[in-house]
Amino acid sequence: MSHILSWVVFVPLIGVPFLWLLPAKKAKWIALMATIVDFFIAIPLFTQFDKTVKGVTSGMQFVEKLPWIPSLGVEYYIGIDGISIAMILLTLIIGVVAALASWGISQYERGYFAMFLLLQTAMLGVFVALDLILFYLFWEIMLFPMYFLIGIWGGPRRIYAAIKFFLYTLAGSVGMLLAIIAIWYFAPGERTFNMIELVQRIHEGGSFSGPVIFGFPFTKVVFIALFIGFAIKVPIFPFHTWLPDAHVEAPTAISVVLAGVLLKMGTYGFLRINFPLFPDVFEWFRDFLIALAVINIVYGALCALAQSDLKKMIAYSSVSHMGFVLLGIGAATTQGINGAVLQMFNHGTITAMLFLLVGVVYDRAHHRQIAGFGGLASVTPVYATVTSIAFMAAIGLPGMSGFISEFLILTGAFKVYQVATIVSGLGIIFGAAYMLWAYQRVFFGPLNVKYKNLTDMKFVELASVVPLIIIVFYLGILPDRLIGFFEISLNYLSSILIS
Amino acid sequence: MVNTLPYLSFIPAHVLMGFAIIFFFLAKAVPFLKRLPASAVFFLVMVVCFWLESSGSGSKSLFFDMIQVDSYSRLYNQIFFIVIAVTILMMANNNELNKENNWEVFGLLATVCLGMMLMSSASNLLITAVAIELVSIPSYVLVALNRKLPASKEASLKYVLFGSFAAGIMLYGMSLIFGLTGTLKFSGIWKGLADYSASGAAIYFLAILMTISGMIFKISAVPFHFWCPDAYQAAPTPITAFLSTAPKVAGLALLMRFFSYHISLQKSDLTLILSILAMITMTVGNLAALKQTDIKRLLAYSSISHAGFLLMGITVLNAAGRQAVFFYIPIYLLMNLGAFMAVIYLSQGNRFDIASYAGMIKKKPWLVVGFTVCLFSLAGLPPFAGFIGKFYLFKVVIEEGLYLLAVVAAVNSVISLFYYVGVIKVMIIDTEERPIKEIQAGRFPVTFVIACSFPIVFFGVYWIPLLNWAEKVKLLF
Repeated sequence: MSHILSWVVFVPLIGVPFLWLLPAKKAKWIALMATIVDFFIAIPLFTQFDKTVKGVTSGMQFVEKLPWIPSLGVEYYIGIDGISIAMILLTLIIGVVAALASWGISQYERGYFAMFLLLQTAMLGVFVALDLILFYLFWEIMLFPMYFLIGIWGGPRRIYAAIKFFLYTLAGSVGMLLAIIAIWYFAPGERTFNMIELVQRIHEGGSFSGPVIFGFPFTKVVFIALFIGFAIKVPIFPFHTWLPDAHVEAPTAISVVLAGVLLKMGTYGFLRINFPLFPDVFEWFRDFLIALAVINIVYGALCALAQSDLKKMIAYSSVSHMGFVLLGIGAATTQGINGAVLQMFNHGTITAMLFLLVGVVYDRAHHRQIAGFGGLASVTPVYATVTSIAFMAAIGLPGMSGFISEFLILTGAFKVYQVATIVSGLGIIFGAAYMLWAYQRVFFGPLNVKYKNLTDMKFVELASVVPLIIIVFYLGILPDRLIGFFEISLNYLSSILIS
Repeated sequence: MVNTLPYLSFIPAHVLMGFAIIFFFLAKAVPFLKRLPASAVFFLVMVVCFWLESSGSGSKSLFFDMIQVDSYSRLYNQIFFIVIAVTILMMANNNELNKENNWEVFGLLATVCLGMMLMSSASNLLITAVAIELVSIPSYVLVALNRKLPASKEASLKYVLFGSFAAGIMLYGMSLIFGLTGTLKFSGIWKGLADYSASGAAIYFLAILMTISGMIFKISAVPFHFWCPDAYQAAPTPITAFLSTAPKVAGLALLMRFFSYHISLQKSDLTLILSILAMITMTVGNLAALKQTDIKRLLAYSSISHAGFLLMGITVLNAAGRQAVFFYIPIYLLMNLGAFMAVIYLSQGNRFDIASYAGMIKKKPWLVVGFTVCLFSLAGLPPFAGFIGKFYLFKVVIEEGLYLLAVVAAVNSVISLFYYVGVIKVMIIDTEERPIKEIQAGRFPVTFVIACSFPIVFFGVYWIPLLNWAEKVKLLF
């Protein structure tokens, strides 16, 4: 069908009015249908994707370009290439999984699923937008649905967590807005908001003609402004403090979406906009970025080790895993970047599983304290098995996808930053430590008699986790099936960044 | 007197407004006229004035170059008529004002309207002073009309004292300018001040700053903003809605016209002064709003900070800046009037504290959704039109290279989100405390707020119609 990409982006939004046509209790079926239909509509994107086209500076696929505000030079310009295809796939999968995870929502269902579907459209839009203003609009649109989703349906400290998330992310975003306006105004050649065009001009030797701002060169200031905006999303230490609160207080499905997709938007921003537009500043910044990545990995893992709340531990493990993505991007070698994008996809699926599984026990016990459980393996064997698979995937056990991506990143980074890579290895060891220790305390050991009647996983819960397990194993054994999609684009991006 | 009569055909709306003033003040004495529906008559007057202004064309300087009638003044006048029409609708749905006083209130509003129309066309300092006073003095009375509230008289007195103070400073500044340049015409002032500005004499800055103090007072920018929260809180809500929009727009129009005659060597100094003013206004307005518990005070401080944002557009002192301001104004009207209409509905029973709005989403879901859209738009959040307005203001500021101003404005946008979301949180997330029967049925406010939120969302995504309207506002140089 024509305009397939626009359909993929907007089908969830189109589903929103239908939520009011059915009784409130049936709203979840509409949302589930919208996400499943969206996934099926998007299948031709993957089957007809040309894996040999480089993308990044030209040759975007499934392009749609319409004039929007001609006087400003803003266009409705969307398209995909290797960098975005994996993220689209991830968002679609997480959309279905999160819709299933929202099955238990019992308050204001229509409002919940309206915000959820709007969020889904916004996330898909961010990954396909190729015009800076369109990108920014989609980026910002997902802020207020997240505020409501956390603030209304979340946990006990949800109001604090929601406004913290909102303000923190908005602060980064306005810096991004000023940077985008500056990029447009001082662009090499004719002024445009077209991302791909700008990256191509920079690659061909163009440069920004901006003045010195507050005593610093133009490119450095704009790079840092963009960097901070994206860094808050990733999240990079020290801008990570919103994440534990938001993840813990959000309802299960929203934690899944937050950790699964939203965090990737930050690193996607690095790969699509920030680093290709300023390759020389990237050179200057690389060492610092690697240092931040290592801090993320090790500090995030140490914080996870110290947690007593299961969900908060997984939230910090997210910080740690995203540090690996940064390590791969900072190294900018072909293995590094390919590993980073693969890690983005894998982390999305694995962390989604982890949050879903924490949600299972929270629904039943109404708390997530690791010390409050014990010996659950004897009461809920299916749950214990599934959780063991998920935890092993998070540790990066060979045979599962996490191993491939972490291995690629470490290989790619070792070429350029040996010390940093060795220190990051610590992160893997700590990862195993906190995961295994938490598992042992929750599932093994003497049974906590309070929970001897705990019900095992229900069909809906299994239905949301099993597809993710299948993907994790599939990519652990045949990772090239996914890497093939983005290899050519990312190799080309790596050559742009390292040159 | 003889020479002015042919000119009256160029200013038909002004003439009509003059007759309206007389009509509304005297009608109560005539038994036949007293029985007419005052609101309907005034609404009709607004519609006719709007039509008269939209069918005008060309530009002309009238009354010995006192006023300049052109497309700029016509478009701003149309905005005033729209705001007053909405105010009339608000007054009909609100019981804070004694309906028996409607004739006098409309007479006062007509006087304010005439003053605003003169402000938008003023090209001479003398008519500026007259126009500003013509807007201020009836406003003092309008604020005091909330007879049930004792604070209303106190607020009105504060407003009077402050306004007189600002007007006095303004007149002193104008006399300084006359002394320095020998003329009161906008076109002559800046040329006359060229030598003083070139030498950077203190008297030049003093004269300019003092002269604009009256205009600063009207747009409630720092340091003449102190009257704003008290007056807004104590005035009847329709009057607050009116004051927060129309006189502010008139003040901005006057400021822009006043500064547009500057010569290029004065630009950097003026930009510096205006950007400092803008930065301080935004910051003070936002920081003070953070602690507010009364919705009208919160909206008052929010309008102060919006005055700061709009001053950004004036700071750049070029046509792009003026267009950005004019682009923002209809959006600002939609957001602000929508918010105040929601306040009129939700605050029935004179409960204006924000905490009393708790849980309103359950009782009036669509009104709360519309109000939320207006509040998010005021915060400048995509995909709402308020973001697009702020985007153009940021754009003109960055084009001019005023990076500190851009950063301060960006930080203030984020700060402002906190207090807007505070209201939204109370309405949507908090559980209700107020008994249900206090909210009376009334379809108009709900419809109006929802009707405001549709264009806010539409223009947030496709804003070309507004751009086309803003294109028409061009001063002749």
